[in-house]
Amino acid sequence: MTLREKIEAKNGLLFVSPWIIGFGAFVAYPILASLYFSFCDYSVLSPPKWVGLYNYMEILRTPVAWRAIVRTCLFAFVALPLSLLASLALALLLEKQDRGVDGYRTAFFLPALVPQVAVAALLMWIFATDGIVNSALGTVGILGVPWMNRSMILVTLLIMTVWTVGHAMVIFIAGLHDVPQELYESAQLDGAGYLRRVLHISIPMVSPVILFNLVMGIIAALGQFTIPYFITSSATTRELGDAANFIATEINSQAMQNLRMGYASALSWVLLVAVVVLTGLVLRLSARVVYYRGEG
Amino acid sequence: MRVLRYIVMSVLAFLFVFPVLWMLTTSVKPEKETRKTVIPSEIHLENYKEAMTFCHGEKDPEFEEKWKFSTFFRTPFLTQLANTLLVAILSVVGVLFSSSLAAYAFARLKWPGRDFFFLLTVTTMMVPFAVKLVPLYGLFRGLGWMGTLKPLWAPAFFGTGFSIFLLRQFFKGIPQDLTDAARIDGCSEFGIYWRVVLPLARPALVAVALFHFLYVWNDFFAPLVFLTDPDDFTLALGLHQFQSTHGGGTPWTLMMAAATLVTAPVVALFFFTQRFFVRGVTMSGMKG
Repeated sequence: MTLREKIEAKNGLLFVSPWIIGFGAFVAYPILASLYFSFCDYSVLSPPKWVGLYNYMEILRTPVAWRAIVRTCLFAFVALPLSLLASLALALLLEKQDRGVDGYRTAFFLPALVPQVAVAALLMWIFATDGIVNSALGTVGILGVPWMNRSMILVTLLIMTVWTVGHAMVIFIAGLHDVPQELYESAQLDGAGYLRRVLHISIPMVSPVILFNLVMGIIAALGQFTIPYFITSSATTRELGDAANFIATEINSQAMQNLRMGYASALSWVLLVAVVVLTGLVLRLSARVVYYRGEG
Repeated sequence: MRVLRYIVMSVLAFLFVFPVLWMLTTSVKPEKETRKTVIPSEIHLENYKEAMTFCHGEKDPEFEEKWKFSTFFRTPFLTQLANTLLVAILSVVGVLFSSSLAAYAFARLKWPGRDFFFLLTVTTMMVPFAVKLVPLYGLFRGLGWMGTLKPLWAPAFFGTGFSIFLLRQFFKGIPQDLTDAARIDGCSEFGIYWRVVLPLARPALVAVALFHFLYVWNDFFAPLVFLTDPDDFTLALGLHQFQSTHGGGTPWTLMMAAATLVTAPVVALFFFTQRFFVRGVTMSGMKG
C-alpha cells in the first residue's frame, strides 16, 4: 500500500463510520437480537430465558399465526403479478409524449402520494356497505357487496394495491423511454404489429426495471402493516376478525399487546426468511430472463 | 386508435382520481348528505375546524373557545403537525449529512471491505420494520427514549440504506477529473466532498430529502410502537386515533376532513417539487 492509498483507506473508513455505527445499532443488532430472542421466553420486563425451539413450535400450533403467514404469502403471490401488470400496462399507455399525457400521468400517480393512513380511512369510507362503490354498483344491479367483511377484505386490499401502483409506473415510463427507437422502427419495417413490438422489444428491454419493481414489491407486500392494522383496529369493522391479519400485524399484536416478545421475534424471523427466500428465488430465476444492455 | 387511447386513459384516470375527489367532497359536506349526494349542497368548512380541534376521542368541550386564534396553536392537529415537522426536519438533516458522507466513501474512495459492505447496505433495504421491532423496542426502552420523539429521528443521523444507495449512484456519475483537479490544488478529502461533490449533487440531495420527508410523514408503524403520550403523536398516528377512539362514531365528514389535512401537504409538496421527485423515483430504479 502506498501512502496515498493508506490515506484514502483511512478517509474512506472515517467517512463511512457514522453509517457503520448506524448499521450496527439499528440494523445488524436488531436482526441478530431477534434471532436470539426467538429462542427465548422474553417480555422486556425480565431478562430473556432460553426455551429452544418452543416459540417456533408454538407458531405451528397456533392457527392464527400460520393463517397470518399463509395469508401474507398468498396475498403477495396474487398482488405482485397483478400490480406489475397494472403498472406496466399504465406505463405503456402513457409512454408516448402526446398532448395532455403529463396530466394523465399525474392523475395515475396521485393515489401513490396519499399517505397510507389516509388510504386506509378512505378505503373504509368508499367500500362501506352503503358507500359510494356499492351505490355505483347498485345502478347496474349488483347490490350490497360486503367489501369490508372477512369474505371480501383481501379482494378490497388487492384493489387498493393496484390503485397505488404510481411509483412503479413512473419507473416503468422512464425505462420505456430508454429503449432505443431504432429497435421499434426496424421491427415495424419487418411488419411487427403493436402487440409483438411490446412483447418482443419493450418487455425484454425493460426487464431490469421489472426485476427492480418486483423486488421492491416483495418487500412492501410481505411487510405490509399500516392499512391492515388501521382497518382491523377500527370499531366499524369488528366483524373482520383476523381476516386482514398479516405477519407484520401479528408481530405487532403479540409484541406490543401481549408482551410475548420471544414469540413475536420468532414470527419476525419467519417474515425475514420469507422475504429473503422469495427475493432470492426471483433473483435466481431472473438471471436467465433479465436482459442487461451493454453487459455482453 | 388515438381516440380510443384517450378514452381508455380518461376512464381509467377517472377511476384513479375519483376516490381522492370523493375524500375531498365528503370533507366539506354537511353530515346528513354524506352518502347520497355527489356535489354538496353547501360547503361546510366547519368540518375542518372540528377535525382539527376534536380531542382524544370526544368533541372538545371548549371547542368554540379553542378556535380563537391565541389558543389555536394548542389544538391536537397543530401539536401533531408540529411533532411531525420536527421529526421530519431533524431526520432529513441527519440523513442528508450521514448518508452523503457514506455514499461518498462508497462511490469515490477505496478502502478495505468497501464492496462487501456496500452489498450489506443495499440489503438493509430488504428488512421490514416488523423484523426489527422487538430489539429496537428493547433498545430504546433501555436508553430511556420511550415516550419521546427520539426513536423516530435519532437513527436518521447514522444514515439509511436507501439514501446511501441513491446518492452513491449519483456520486459515481460525477467526473473524476473534477475531484482530481481539486485534489491537486491541495483540497482535503472533506473539502472535495463538501465543496465539489455536494454542490454538484444538489438534485440528488433534494430527491433524497423529499423521499425521506415523505417517509417520515407517512410512517405509522414506528410512531405507533414508540410514542406513548398523545402530546407526542405525529399526524399519521393522530388520524388513526381520531378514527379508532370514537367507537366507530366518527362522522365520515370529519374523518375525511382529517384525512385531507394529512394528505394535502404531501400533494402540495409534490406539485412544487415534481421535477426533482420524478427524477428521484427514476434514479432509484436504475441499476448499479
